[in-house]
Amino acid sequence: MKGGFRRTQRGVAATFDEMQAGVLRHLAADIEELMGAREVAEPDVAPTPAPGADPFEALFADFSAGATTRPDDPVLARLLPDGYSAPTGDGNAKPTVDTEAAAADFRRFTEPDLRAGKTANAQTILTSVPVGGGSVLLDDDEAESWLRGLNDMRLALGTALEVGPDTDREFGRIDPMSSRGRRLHLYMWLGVLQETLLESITDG
Amino acid sequence: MTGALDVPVEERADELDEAVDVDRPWVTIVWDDPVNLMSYVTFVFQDVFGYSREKAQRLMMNVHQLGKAVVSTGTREQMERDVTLLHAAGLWATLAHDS
Repeated sequence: MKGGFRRTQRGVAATFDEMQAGVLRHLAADIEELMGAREVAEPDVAPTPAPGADPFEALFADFSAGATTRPDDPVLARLLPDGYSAPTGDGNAKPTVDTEAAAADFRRFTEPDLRAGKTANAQTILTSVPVGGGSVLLDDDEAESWLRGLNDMRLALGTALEVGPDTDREFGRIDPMSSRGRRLHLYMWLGVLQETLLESITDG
Repeated sequence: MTGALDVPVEERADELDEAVDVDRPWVTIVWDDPVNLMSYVTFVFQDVFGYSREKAQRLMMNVHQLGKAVVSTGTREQMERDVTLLHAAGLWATLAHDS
């Protein structure tokens, strides 16, 4: 599966066969769905104001429409991580903020945009990969979207496969036709694709 | 009439704590992650912070070898902005109060 992206005079280019195109489109649709599902599954999102409620309260609700809790699903939790951690250092310092409350507030204000950005990157990939395979030619903005979109796919797949320091060794031994073997091969291929894309971008 | 010298001792002690806090900036921490490519993490540090390739590479190696690294320092608002940008790029980042 060598190949991947290369820089051409007209932009960053790659050619995908039918199977590769199908896989990329499938994964992009998965990310899009994951980001949308989060919106639907969170009951706190954009509550409908009661009749006669303070209109300014409704206005404020629009600005604070994001979820406040970290997703339970490990894949979603990796794509949409918490923004705050405990104070650094030896732990003797007096915490100046409640880390959990700060993380909830941070999530409420940033998660909607984070999801929108990841959805847009997935959509860029979906629109540029031909259904039956073929060539892809990207301008600078599209290449940046692809770089981040491919990273999200690898984060999702890598978290689901629980990849770690031993994954490279496992990859050398695993039956490539087993279910996990196929998924690990796909994960490795996405890594090659992202690496060649990054090289093509920084060569430009 | 109350002058500065009449402020109870405890309250002045609190003011001193505040003054010390100025030396405790907020930090953005990036955590090691088995998925993100080393070359990609370096690229993101250059892209988001405008760091030189050398500095970005050094920070990436710190994350990789030490498990985490402080990648920027500043006010809470600045660090919230940095974490937001790093999350958008898929890095595992948090902000915290330095100690």
